[in-house]
Amino acid sequence: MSAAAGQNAKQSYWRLVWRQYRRNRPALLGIVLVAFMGMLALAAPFLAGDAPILMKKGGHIYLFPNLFNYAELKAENLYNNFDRWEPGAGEWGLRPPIPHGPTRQDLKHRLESPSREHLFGTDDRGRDVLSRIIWGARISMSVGFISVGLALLIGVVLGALAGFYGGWVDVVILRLIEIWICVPSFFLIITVMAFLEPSIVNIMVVIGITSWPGVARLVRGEFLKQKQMDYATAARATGLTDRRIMFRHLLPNAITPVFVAATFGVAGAILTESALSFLGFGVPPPTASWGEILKQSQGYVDFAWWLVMFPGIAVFLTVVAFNLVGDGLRDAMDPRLRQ
Amino acid sequence: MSNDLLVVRNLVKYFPVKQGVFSRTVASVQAVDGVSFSIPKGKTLSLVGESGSGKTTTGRLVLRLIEPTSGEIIFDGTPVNTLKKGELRRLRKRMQLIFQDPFGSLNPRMTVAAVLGEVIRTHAGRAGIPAGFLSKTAGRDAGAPSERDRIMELLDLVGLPAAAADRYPHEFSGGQRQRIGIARAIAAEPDLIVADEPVSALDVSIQAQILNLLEDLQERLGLTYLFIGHDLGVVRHISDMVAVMYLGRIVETAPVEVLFENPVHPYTRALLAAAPVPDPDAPRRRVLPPGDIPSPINPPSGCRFHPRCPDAQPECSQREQRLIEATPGHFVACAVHVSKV
Repeated sequence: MSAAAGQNAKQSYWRLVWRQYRRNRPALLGIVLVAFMGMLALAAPFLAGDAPILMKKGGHIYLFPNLFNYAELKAENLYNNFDRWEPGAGEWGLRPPIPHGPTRQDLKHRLESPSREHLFGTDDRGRDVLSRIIWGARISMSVGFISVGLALLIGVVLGALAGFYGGWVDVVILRLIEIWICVPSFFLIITVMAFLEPSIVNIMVVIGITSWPGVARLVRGEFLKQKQMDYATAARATGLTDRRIMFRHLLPNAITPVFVAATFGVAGAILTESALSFLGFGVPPPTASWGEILKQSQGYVDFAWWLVMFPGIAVFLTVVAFNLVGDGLRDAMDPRLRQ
Repeated sequence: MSNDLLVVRNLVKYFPVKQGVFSRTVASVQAVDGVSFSIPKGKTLSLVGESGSGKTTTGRLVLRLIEPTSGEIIFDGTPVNTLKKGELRRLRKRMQLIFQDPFGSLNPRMTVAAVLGEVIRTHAGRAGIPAGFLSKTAGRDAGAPSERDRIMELLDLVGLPAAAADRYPHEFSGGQRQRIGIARAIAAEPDLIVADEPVSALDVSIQAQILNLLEDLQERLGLTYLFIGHDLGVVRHISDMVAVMYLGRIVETAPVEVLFENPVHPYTRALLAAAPVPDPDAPRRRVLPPGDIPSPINPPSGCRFHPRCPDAQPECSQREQRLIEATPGHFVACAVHVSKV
């Protein structure tokens, strides 16, 4: 009963935010687009791929054979080769709506313009562009969220320490932030990625550790404000530990603007990943990523418009969507704009 | 051993005023400048004075929420001002604070039960402190009351319904929030409570309820109060002793009736005269000359009150005034008037 009552009251703040958010049409469009991109990323194996979702073969029924039946498939030379599989008598396979794997090459169908078979056309190795864009959403979304998550982790901790303790702790962390901000982060990322093995994990880490200073400054400012409040003094007078005061009392009251910054951060991270992949420092081929598709199109821009247009639109829509959500969230949480 | 729970000797707090790139200290705000007082167990001492007189700072210094520049704070025989961080945290159980602003003093993201539970858990079973004077069944042997029971008991004690436990602060009125603040303070089972203008943000009708609650709790739990206020009616109602502060110093201190019936210091007289009297036909007297309290960055020399004092003598700007015992228990920092008593 107590949990339920608490839940109600907790919802009321977010309900208030949501009521305000709903009035904002562009922000609503943004959240729909973000949800759509998220669904694409989550549902990629159901939407596009060579492997059947459900298949009957040799008297057995397999669900997601590519995932769960690796050994059997390998023995029959079917693993990653489902495009060549012809169901025999009494056998069948339920394939995804776009029956093309993101990395499957088909050199007989290179650089085909959009058609019924390949809705977004094919690239210079005959790979289906739509399938690659759907799987690329996974890369973009995960890079966006995980790198921002890392930036939040570092930024919140350092910002909280600086704001809470002040004095020399604050001075040291502030100088660190200033130094970090002076470094042109994109070139730093390129340099670091040139030395590191190109992998998606490295990209996430590098983007994460270059984008924390903004978060840290924000959190520091909020902490400076919140620690002056009477409830913070009360927590101190109670005899709580510093860690508890910081993370249980101050942080929940300081986190709102950080949410907004994080939303913009996701957009920035997605853009950075695309740019890195475009320049060849990103996810290693043949993994599908939006920037990677754009890179592959470089020699063919003059006629293969579909290679540039569709991944470009995907990047554009996603980045705009996150920015709209961030704007909407900022307005909805601003008590001065509340009606 | 003396009967005093809290003894403060020569408490001083200067806040540095910093300026420029290298944070040079160019001046200091003399917020509290040599304050001494003591409070016997179970009694209430009130600090009164205008805004800027250092009352609130004194209260925070006593709890060591602000580090004093110098001076001694002795709580139940323990010198608070030399305690290390961990020892201080343990002592915090025994000295609590009630705030003026019932809105800013509660964490908006925590339910009442979360606020109280945290205090209970922080101080539960600390060595050397008897468990639960709050529990009616009392004693650990009878089975220690669960946290939830304690929360309900606290809410009952401050006159809030049990349903309040799972609500958030914004769902309460100012007076109810102040009750929550009081419940938080007594949850730690303290001996001393510093009440920093606990009723001045409330409606008059609610003020009386809260004051009665504070008195009731004092009686039932044997609390000692350091009450900070500027409403003289409130102060007269709740105090055993009163200390009047002006610009960081105590100018007069006496048992409450003595001070109200027989004020000696011209500042105390001015304060009492300025208090509204609930009688429209009462003659209006204005003793306090116009003007604001001078800046504590650069306080007047000699007696700090002399620029505004109606009875100032030439030597008042030269000579520092010390507290002199005018009648037993009644101390006044004004040589001019004490000689007339």
